[in-house]
Amino acid sequence: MKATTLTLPPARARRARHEVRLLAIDRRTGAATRHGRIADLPELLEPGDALVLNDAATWPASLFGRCGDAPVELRLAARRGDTWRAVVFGDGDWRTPTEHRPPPPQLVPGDTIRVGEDLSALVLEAEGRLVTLRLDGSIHALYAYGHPVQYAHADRARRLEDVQTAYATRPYAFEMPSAGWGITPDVLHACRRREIAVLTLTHEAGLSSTGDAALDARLPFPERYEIPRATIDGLRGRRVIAVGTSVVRALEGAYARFGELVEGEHETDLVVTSRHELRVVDGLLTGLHVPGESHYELLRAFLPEPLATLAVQTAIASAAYLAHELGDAMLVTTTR
Amino acid sequence: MHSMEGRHVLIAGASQGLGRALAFAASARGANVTLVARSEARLREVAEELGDRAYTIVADVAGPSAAARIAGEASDRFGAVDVLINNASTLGAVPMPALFDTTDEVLRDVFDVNLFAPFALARAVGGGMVARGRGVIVNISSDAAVEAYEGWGAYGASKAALDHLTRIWAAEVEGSGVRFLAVDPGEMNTAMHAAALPDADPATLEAPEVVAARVLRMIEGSAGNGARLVASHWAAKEVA
Repeated sequence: MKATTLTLPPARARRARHEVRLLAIDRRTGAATRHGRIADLPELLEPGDALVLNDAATWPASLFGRCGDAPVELRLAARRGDTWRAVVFGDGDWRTPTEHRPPPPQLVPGDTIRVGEDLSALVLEAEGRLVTLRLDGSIHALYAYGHPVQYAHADRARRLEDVQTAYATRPYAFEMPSAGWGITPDVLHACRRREIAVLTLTHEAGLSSTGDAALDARLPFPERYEIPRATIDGLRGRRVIAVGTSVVRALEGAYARFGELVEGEHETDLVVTSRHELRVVDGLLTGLHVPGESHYELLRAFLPEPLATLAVQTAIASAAYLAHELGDAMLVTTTR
Repeated sequence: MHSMEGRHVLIAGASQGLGRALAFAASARGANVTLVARSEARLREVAEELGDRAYTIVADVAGPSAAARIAGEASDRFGAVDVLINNASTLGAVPMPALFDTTDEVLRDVFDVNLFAPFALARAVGGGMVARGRGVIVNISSDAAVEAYEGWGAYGASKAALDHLTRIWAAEVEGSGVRFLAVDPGEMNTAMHAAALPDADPATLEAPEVVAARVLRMIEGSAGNGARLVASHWAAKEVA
């Protein structure tokens, strides 16, 4: 089987958290050690491990408005104080795959997108459909008008609560850090009872798709993260299991830039691929991804080929797993 | 032992009565307070007195996606919620009808505000509390949850359900560092009490400020996870 032909069925309806399936893969062999459920996570980890979560809540990042007479959708992609980076889409709705949406009008600095009575966006910079905006309106108005960014492959529009992990805290992400979708507070509680440290950081998981091939090639954009002091101290000397690529990016990005983990808010442009030597993170809980996706490239830092291909083949062969942001999970650790 | 200083206290139903008094008391103890209520005018009035350490959200707690929006907005302003006080509640129809005269719509509305909304808010902020290993969720109850007062059917049943939700949630998080508490604040001199019992003598009722101070001492103190606290008795009793 050639790597490029590997596909998994996308999840159209979101799995309930406790229904999320978990494929456990041994980092040394790429072989499955368990076909289970997310509730098995605590027993698949070892006492003394540290499980690191991205506790970012997901912004209602999609705003529909008008620039003059032209209907546009803004998808917020990053926040820097009062200014926001966004990708502009043309007319259409969430059911249209982004690559099939009509192009938006070319915005120029000074343009205003009117979202609602008390919310508008002033264009400060524009580079194709990538813009920098000042939002004129309150965060309350953003929550009133905004919706979560939708997935065209889903069966229905997602509500704000549908795109939050169970432990979401501060709004910081633009698409849900979805690897942790299935992790309930009860799973975390069970981890702690097994002497597994549960630690958090916050990372600005950005957009996965812009509808523009040239822009998509530049993804992920530099992203912000904040690692609390308690997490830096808490993971010292432990085997570190990252929940999601955003946690890998924050921890490895911090190490790449500073040579150690430092507290406070920073930005990283690190793109983790098979060529990256992991310095902080030992294991990964992630969604199921196939070759061609950036998340799959990151997986190869944990599972050098042919092990990553083997792991995906195992998932496909069992026919039990769903891919994409709404689907199942894979745990990659060195089995002791 | 659980000081309010620098903590983020989110109060649903904060524009009047006990909620308003809790906001002032928490602020006086050094907390950052997010106040949620439907009335913008009354909320603004409270916030102006409290200054920078207060943030207001005009919202109907029973509205669509209200919990996710409130939790997000509040956490953007003051960071993770350390204490959630579910104080918003409704009597339903007033004068309060006997159960035979209570419509399905009134019963649903009362359960939406008094049970579903606190449930959704607790779920929205409680998972993060478990992840951090600390936090307090206080559900404001009533002695109508325990006693069978005629005319208090919808309200009393909703508060009894909230009490039981609190107990079971407490059992499920036991040992996590998160505490779920139910508080019966007793009879207070509030607009809600006047609407329910217009003939009551205000002199026999507690001032909400006095009750609020007691409730905060209970939160700061060692009130155990799962306790049902009766403010007027100044005592914790487990509902066993």
